[in-house]
Amino acid sequence: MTIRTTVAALLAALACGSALAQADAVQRGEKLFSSAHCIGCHAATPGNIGTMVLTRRLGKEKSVLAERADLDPAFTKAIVRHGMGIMPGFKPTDLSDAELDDLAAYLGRKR
Amino acid sequence: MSQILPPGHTEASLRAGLAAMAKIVGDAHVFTQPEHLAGFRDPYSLDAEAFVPSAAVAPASVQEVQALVKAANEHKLPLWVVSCGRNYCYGGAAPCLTGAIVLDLKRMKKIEVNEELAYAIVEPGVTYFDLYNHLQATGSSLWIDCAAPGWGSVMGNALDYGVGYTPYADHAGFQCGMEVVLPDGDLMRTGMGGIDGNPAWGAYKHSFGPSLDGLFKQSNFGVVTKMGIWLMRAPEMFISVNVTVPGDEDCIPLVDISRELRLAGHIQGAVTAGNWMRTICSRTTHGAWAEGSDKPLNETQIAKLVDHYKIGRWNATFGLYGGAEVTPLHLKAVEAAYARIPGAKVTHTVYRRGDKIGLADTLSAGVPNLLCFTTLDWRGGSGAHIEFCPVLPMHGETFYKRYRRSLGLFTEYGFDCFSGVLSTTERAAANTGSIIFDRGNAEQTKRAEALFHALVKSTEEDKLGVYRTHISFMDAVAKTFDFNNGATMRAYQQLKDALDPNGILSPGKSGIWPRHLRKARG
Repeated sequence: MTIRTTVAALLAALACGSALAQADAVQRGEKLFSSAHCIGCHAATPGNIGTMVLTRRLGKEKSVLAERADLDPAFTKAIVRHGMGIMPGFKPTDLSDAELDDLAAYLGRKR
Repeated sequence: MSQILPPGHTEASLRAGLAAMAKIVGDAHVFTQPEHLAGFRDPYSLDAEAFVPSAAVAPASVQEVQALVKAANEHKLPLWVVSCGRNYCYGGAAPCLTGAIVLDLKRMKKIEVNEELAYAIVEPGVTYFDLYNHLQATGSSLWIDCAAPGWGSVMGNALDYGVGYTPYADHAGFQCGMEVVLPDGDLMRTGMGGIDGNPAWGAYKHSFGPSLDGLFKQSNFGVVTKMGIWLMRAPEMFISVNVTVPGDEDCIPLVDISRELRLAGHIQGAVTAGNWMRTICSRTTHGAWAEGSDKPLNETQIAKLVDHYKIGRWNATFGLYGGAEVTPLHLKAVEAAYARIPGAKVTHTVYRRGDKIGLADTLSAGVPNLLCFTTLDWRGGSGAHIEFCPVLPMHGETFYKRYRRSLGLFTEYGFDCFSGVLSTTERAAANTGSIIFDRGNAEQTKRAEALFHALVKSTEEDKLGVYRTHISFMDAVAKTFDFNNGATMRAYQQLKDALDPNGILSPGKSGIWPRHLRKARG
């Protein structure tokens, strides 16, 4: 096996590992979205203030967070920590930094 | 951004104290970075730069709480105690004293349920969602009574005299037994818990000798680390009832009839009534009806809105709970009583045990949700609210007179009047009032603050007391308790000085300040 082949194989393994790690983060983030009360305000069903306000401000197509494809993880993390409008900020005792990374990965996942 | 400091401290002394606390809870549970402290600010504050903590610390056990309290005494650092810190319309996790360290008890999440005697012992970090999910997962026959919203702490809400919607709505009234860390770090249990291993701690409310539980409600005399709360056995039948009445003055018989039905035992759950604004502001906005005006809706606009949504000028909801044979009989009595109000309409939904509860009835059935936030978009922008809730006897004329006075003030200051009756016991009610405003509008925010002060002054004149308030107004509300030149506050101060001479626990809570900060407050 040449050096080039070895390096290519190593890079492929790293990329595969990174993709798996990302997939795990997205899966954990999806669970958090339900259990950390995000869904209580951001579900697609009636009575959800987050979805309701986003509909009024941005239109129906951008109102359901879990269905959007434009949520940058850094933006998500800033909003969750600092709040925006009616939404309060979430403390590290509500969501740790690691959990917030997973949540941001879920909402920022490529579809 | 410069470091916020507790009064009388330098960065070095604060750092030394935090280092001592980090040895107790671990570095990962001491928070000083701005992105971590952001969530400990009041999201609906009238002043974004007020009530800012210097740090936060999160213990996981009662032993850690005791050690932290001792460290706070040693370093003379003020702590501000929160259970989950989600009391948002009253300040959230933000401290009364800028620079205090928030003692966040969210990590303490133990639940013990006694199914036979129908109670739970909970730690501060247990939310209504947590307790509900625990009971569901264990196949319990017990219901909780939850506040709105469901992410709040069961303990935190009860200790602040928060309320719910079922027959167990008076949360502080259904508290039984506490474990408390005193300001010197000592640990005690109230009631029968004063006997180690006593089996009636969560079942019998009183003590031998003085019962001390009341000392730790809305107070800063100790850190409650466990609390007993009574739970309701799931009824065989639950009937959700709605009553609408057409006229503004119809709230008089609505209140009086509700009282008599409660005293007669026909209505067992809390009666929640509201004017048109309280009833509908979660479903629409001011802008949708105001025809371009920024002023409160006028009578014509209100009439249009009321007609569109088919609601009354006053609307009441409550639950009937009990056996499948007797509960319909209570409903008959209820329908006959309200029929005495001309134009009143009574509708109901019957649920048998195990039925799925409709969304609108979830709180009356002890199912937590987050729907209450939908009211906050009434004025658009960065919706926020301050609650103003004087306590009134459950008497129609008294209520209507108070309502008209509040209505006048809300209108004068440019806000639609949100007014409600939350009667968790038979004889009194909180006259719930919400000033909903756009926090991004500086002028509107200033008017909201001015309205609150005007409301406090008006209740002072009417000799009424407010049952809970925002950290901005704790001193102002405390001053209204003026019997014998403020004898109540003098008693609180004596207790504070005896129990917490260094003044480290939640300075300013309910207007109670430690001696060394008292003079500056006036």
